[in-house]
Amino acid sequence: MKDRAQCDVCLLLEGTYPYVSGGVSSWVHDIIGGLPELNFHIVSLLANRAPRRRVYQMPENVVGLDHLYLHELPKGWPWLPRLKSFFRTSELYLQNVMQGGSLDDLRGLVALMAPLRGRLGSQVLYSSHAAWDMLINLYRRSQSRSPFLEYFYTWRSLIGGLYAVLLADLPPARAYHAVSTGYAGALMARAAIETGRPGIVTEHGIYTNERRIEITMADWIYDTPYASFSVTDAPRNLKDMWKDVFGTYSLACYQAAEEVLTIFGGNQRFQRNDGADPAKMRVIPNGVAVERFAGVERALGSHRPTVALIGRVVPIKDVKTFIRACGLLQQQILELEALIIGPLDEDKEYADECREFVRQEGLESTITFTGKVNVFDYLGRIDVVALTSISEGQPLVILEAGAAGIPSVATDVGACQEIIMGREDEQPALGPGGVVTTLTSPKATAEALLKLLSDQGFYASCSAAIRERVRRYYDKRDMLAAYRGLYERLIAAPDAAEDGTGRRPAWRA
Amino acid sequence: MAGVGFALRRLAERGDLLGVVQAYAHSAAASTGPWLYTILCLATLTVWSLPVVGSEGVTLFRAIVTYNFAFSLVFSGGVVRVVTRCLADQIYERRADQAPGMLMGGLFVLCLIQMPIAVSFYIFVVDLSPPLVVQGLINYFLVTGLWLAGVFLTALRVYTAISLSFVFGLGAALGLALVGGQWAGVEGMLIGFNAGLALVLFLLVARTFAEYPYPAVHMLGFLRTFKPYWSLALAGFFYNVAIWVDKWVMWLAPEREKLPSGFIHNGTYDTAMFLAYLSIVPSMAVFLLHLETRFYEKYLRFYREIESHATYERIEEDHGTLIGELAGGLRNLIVIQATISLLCIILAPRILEALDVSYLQLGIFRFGVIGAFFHVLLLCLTIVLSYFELRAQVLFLTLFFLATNAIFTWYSLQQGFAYYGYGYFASALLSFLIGAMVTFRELGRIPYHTFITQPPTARAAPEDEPAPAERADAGAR
Repeated sequence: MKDRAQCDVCLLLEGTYPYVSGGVSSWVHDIIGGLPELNFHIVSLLANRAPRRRVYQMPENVVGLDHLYLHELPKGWPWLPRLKSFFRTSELYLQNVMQGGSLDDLRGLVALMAPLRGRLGSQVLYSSHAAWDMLINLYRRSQSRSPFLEYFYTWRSLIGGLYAVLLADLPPARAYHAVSTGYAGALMARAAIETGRPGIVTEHGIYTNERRIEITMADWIYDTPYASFSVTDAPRNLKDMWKDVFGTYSLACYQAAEEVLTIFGGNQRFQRNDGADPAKMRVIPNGVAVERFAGVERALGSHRPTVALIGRVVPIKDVKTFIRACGLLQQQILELEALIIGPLDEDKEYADECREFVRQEGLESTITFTGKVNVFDYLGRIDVVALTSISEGQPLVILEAGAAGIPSVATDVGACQEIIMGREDEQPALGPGGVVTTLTSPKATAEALLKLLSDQGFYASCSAAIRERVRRYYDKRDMLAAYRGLYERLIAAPDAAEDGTGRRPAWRA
Repeated sequence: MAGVGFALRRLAERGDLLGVVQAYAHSAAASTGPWLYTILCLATLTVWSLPVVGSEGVTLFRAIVTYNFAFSLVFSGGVVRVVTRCLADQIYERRADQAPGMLMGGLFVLCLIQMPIAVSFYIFVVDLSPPLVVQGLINYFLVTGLWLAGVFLTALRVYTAISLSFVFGLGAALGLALVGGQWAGVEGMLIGFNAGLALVLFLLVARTFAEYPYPAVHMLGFLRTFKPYWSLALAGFFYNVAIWVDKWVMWLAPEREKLPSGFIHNGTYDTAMFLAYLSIVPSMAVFLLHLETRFYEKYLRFYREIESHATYERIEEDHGTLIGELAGGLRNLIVIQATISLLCIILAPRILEALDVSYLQLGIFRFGVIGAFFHVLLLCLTIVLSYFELRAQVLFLTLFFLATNAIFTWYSLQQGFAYYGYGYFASALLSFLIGAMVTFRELGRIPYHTFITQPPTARAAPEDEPAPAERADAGAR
């Protein structure tokens, strides 16, 4: 293994930066670019070697980019001494991993496999007879009524990915920062166990929650039919296995982390449910360039009353509800102008449906699809931003508009409630910065928009409140300062002494 | 939210088991063909030419034909097996339109490889008249062509067409050889015989083109498959060396004959062995039939059940049934072959007398019959192993058989005439015992091999497309 210089922070990113654009990636990009005094090493966890294109130009302070392919193991030796006892031990840990394990199991696996790194690989872990026997034992114990072929591939995907994480070459770093749980979180836990350096995790969306939804909806995971209507009688099936393994990775990550961070308070409920220690939990909201948006020249009153939905035209944004709401609103405000600002090419079918819907409703003169444009140029003439999404994290559009003094009407998803109404612990309470509505309700959205457009006093107070709230709590500089402080503490922390209990001495100030 | 992990679907990569297993099955049985044809042809030739064996011309004729059969089989065995497998793969991928091209390309490659060997042999090693050299070479390449052409029809299971082509063509070959012999001696015999072989080859190729009505393109495409199938090529080569190596060793015996033209042979040993081989044809046919019908049905069911959500318990049950079916087939094979072999041993004097073979060959013939008994069992085991794509084991057994057959035959040669044939017998017996151990050990591990060692054709994971931009203005920053 080559000797590499220790970097300040090793970022562990699963399937995102620098290859995928989106909220998480631009956040990572902002952090790296915003902390030029630190150097970063990135480990990008990917499924396979499928060709991919970088969508971000990485800043100069990124000293290395490693790829960890979850479908790939080193070949290793064809045989190792004492294989039987190796697999007997790993069977115990893996059984826990497959049905609700914790950091202890991961620690056991690291202790078992780390000394064999370089020799251990697919030939032993996948192809040996002892590995097969273990696979069968695990199946018999937990999944004996599941279809074996599907079990086999599930096992390969889930545990194979864990093997890849355990065997990968890890860049030396003063601190490890996973930007999700899952495999990135498991890798962070491994790093903390092996190096004694501190690790943290920041979750944007809740990994296990998103996986749970994905797994429940997946029609490609075979569900064992069972002849009983009672849910408690149901044998454990493969979907349970998927969920439990991700649950284990998540819990191990939370247990290994010095801090469990997220971008808004609503996520913390899920983190607590998944076993995170409340004492370690903290919210560091994502921020926007407040100065830049505060400088937007607003031309109030000199144009048609204007509302805008800013976002990709895709089903999750529920653009149709917005169109219906505009229809209702237009009956009250005849000269209404409505903009749908965002790319139309990501779900062409849905975008076409939306255009067709606008025609059916006779709203062609009211609603304009701008396509992909620079939002900044439009902000000056927008009176209210509307968000009808059925799922969101921490939508930056509300923050950017808010920084410019534009109030928002948003559905009660993700961080919208917190941003618009303020957190419960807000001191002093700044008051509403817009209106929060129920999901998929054109009427509620239309009424809220009407109130803002017609009640000038309400509009002015919302505009002032949201502008102030964004300035105080959602300034990108504050977010960067928070991470700077956190990183500095982690980097300065002494190595953890392995004292057998796995507890690290209290290094926190 | 875009960017939190990758789509799970991408993580859940899996392979396709059933797609390839059917191809193994087909190539396994097809590779036995050439040997059966050799036995039939050489034994028929031996029997037929016995009445006139005193004639020097017939001896030379036999020597040429035997050499050509032996060496063309050895030098084409590797290519033939790879082509067989390649063709089986293509038939199951429903793109057999490349078959005619592969037949042409295969013939070309075989001629190219063997041309230097055959030509230098006929010019520098043996001393024959120019017309005989030409006819000998023509014969060599006709025989080579037969090995390859037979494969294409076997893969389509048009056995009747193959059998008819061979029976009709070889009948014509022998008849024409007789006529030619009366007309122009050995040259005439060879010309007549070659005409008959050409007829067989023509029938096979014509039928092949009729069965695969596609233009002959992409002729050398199969060469790429040597890389994954190198062990098939080696096993094909070594197996054919193995079945001839005892003959070659016996060509060093004191009883060997050297013809004036330079051909060396051991008529006593060779004749007895060819006759002994003939004893296994019926049981071999019965076993192949069993494999292709009743066993194949269980074999397919085993894989289909796995594909259709079987639990491991069910897989084990099917596994048991599959092994039971194989054991039953092998038991029948043993019973049939033991009966035939026993009859041959008891009736050996009568058989040899009827065929006008010297009593000196009685011992060799009997050892040959017992050896062939184990040999056919060994062969069946390797076919069974091929069904499960256990190529390394097949290669090992083939090499083991080759080595022991050479060493034991050499040893029996040192022990004197009474022990002739003992080497082949001992080698076949030992190889069978080892083969049975290996085969039954591996059969017990079929589920393991199904998932671990048989490389499933990778079902391509969906392209890793970059997730869409989260925000409308992401590009603007």
